[in-house]
Amino acid sequence: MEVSKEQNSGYTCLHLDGRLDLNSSSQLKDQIKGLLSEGVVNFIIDLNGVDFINSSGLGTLVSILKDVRMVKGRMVLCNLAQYVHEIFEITQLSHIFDIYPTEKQAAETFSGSAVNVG
Amino acid sequence: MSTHDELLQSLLEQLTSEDVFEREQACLQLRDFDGDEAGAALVACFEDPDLGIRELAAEGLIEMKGEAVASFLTVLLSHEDISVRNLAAEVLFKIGTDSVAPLCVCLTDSDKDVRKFAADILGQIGSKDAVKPLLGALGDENANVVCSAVEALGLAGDPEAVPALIKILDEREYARPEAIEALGRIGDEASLEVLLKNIQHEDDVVRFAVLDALGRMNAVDAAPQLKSMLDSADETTKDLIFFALIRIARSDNRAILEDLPEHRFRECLFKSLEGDDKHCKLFAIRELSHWKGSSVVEKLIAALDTDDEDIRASVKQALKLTVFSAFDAVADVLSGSNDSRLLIDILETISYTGNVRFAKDVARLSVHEDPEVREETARTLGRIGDHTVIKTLVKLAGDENGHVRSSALKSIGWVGDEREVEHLIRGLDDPYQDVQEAAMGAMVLIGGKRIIEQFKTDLNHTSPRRQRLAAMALGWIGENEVVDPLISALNHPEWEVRRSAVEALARIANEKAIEPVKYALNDEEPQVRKAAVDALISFEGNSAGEHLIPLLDDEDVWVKFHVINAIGQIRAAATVEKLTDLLCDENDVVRVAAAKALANLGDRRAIAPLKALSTDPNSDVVTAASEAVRVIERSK
Repeated sequence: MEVSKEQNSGYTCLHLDGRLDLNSSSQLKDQIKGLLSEGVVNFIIDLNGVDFINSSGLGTLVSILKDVRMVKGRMVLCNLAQYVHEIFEITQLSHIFDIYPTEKQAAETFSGSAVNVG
Repeated sequence: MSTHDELLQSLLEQLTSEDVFEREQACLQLRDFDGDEAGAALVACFEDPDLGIRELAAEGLIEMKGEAVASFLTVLLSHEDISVRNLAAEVLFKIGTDSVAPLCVCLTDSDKDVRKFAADILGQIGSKDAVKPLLGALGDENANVVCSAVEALGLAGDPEAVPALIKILDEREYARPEAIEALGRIGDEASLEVLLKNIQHEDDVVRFAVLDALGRMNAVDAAPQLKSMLDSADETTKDLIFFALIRIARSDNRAILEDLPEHRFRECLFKSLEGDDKHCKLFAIRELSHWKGSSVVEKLIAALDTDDEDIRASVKQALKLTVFSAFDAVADVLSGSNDSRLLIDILETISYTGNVRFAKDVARLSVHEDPEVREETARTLGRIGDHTVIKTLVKLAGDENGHVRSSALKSIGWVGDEREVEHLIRGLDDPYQDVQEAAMGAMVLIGGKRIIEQFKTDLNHTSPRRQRLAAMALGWIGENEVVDPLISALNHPEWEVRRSAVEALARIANEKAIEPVKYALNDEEPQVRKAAVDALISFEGNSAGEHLIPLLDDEDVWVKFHVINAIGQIRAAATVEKLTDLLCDENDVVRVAAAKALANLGDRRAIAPLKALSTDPNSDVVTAASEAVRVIERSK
């Protein structure tokens, strides 16, 4: 899986491309851990390019969400393919994640974040 | 006389029947006839005393169209009954271009009312073919006819009419506003000079018409003069100048507003928000999204009071960017309004900003009478995500409405307060599935000993659903301390619990689980065996192949299919011989899957058996085998 990072005002967007399974998800987790240690706490995970996801991939996303919450950050998902969306429904993960249809809509949720600071 | 003619004659006679039903049937059947006689008969029906028949005839004539029908109808424009005249006019308009020539003839009718009617209908049709006759009508002795002709020329939009309209503007005082409006509609630059000459006209009606026309024709060159008038203009003129400027600006001429003083610019945008022009409103909303402050936010909130979804969506978008600049204005709405739609719109906007300063005001809505408002309140508080909102969320988690409870529990998970675990656990007992799942999700996010203990206990709950939720939740929590209870759950009587346990163990990837998962490869339920295959591959990668070989003889075809695919993906070389045997399996899907897996393995020993499939009765098998041969031969 390829992960490309895009730094924006108020959030970092990670565009995922390929299979999100055990191997690739640990790579994603390491990358986000690295960003958290640098003080980056707000994330959009763009799943547009994800053509396969299994329970290891889902578990990693839950684990990352918990890590992000621990540092009072936010992580939202966007651009889920229909089948990925169905998996989130079946596994009840749609109750856990904040999911948006597009990156633009997800980005708007960070528009007021800067005002909270201070 | 032919049968067709006989039937027509019979229907024409039937139209004179005293029985309404008979006439109605005749009218209906005449609609299917072509020809002048049927058309004339339907036109005659306009005088029928029954409204239903008149309407049936009108519909029939609109379908028939044609100049002949239109000519019959124009005769009715001088009918003594106004309802007949109006119906004829409506049908002429709906017939459209076929009506133009007969109506142009009417422009020279001896009856002034017919001439005016004709000009009006021609204006509605807006055909350029009518321009010349309408220009002729500008010389009519009757003022009403001239005004109608002027309007019609404006609606036709042909620049050819401009010189004549300018002449009317100069010479016929009574038609001046109509001429100005027509020039504005045509939008030809040739009329700009005369319009600007009248921009300060002493007559309000003329002045207002000029301002409207300049806006309508996007007269960029008029912008400096319009702006210079703002300081001395009365209120109404000023409003019209604003509308004109916005109309010009929204047509790719935004720059004309940039040198306006800030208060004028804002005033201009506010006026546009209050106006009726949708495009101007949308332009103003987009502009205001870059502004800040109470007055801007108040105006935007007021603009939400519309049923136009485009406007509402645009305003909400603008509010997302501006709302944090006016906490007091928003608080006033949240505390003062009882309009559910407005409140939900504002809550959605706040939830996008997630700004903690709104928390207190939002929390007040937790007692609102409308459950949809309470549900949105819970969601918004979750997005705000501050611990100060927890008490309100707990209260909403006990709401009488299931949607509100579900939303509140999900939000508690986002806020993440371990002290509220007992409320979440109560949510698992909720009668609604959605609420139970929201509670489970929140507990997964919060985690911790108490929650893990609860799910461990739930693995033996009396409800199979609770058992499944517990196994799933333990997997999502993913801590090592849940491994033992999950391993125990592999012996659970419910296969869905066993499957969830296998999936969960795969995610946690604790070595302790490897042997129990291998054991699950022999589970009596195919779904569990399939999950165990995936789990083992997660643990051992391509070394899992040797443990999967026995499953290539699984009694369940879909388990067999799943294993073949899995082996192909991990390229387990030890399985080549077994996969080759499966090329002769009785089941088509197994033969296809085996061919594809062998292609992935790339072992040349498979080429001959794959080639033997060229005569397989199933075309999918032939294609898969041939592709596999191609792939293997190409590989090194």
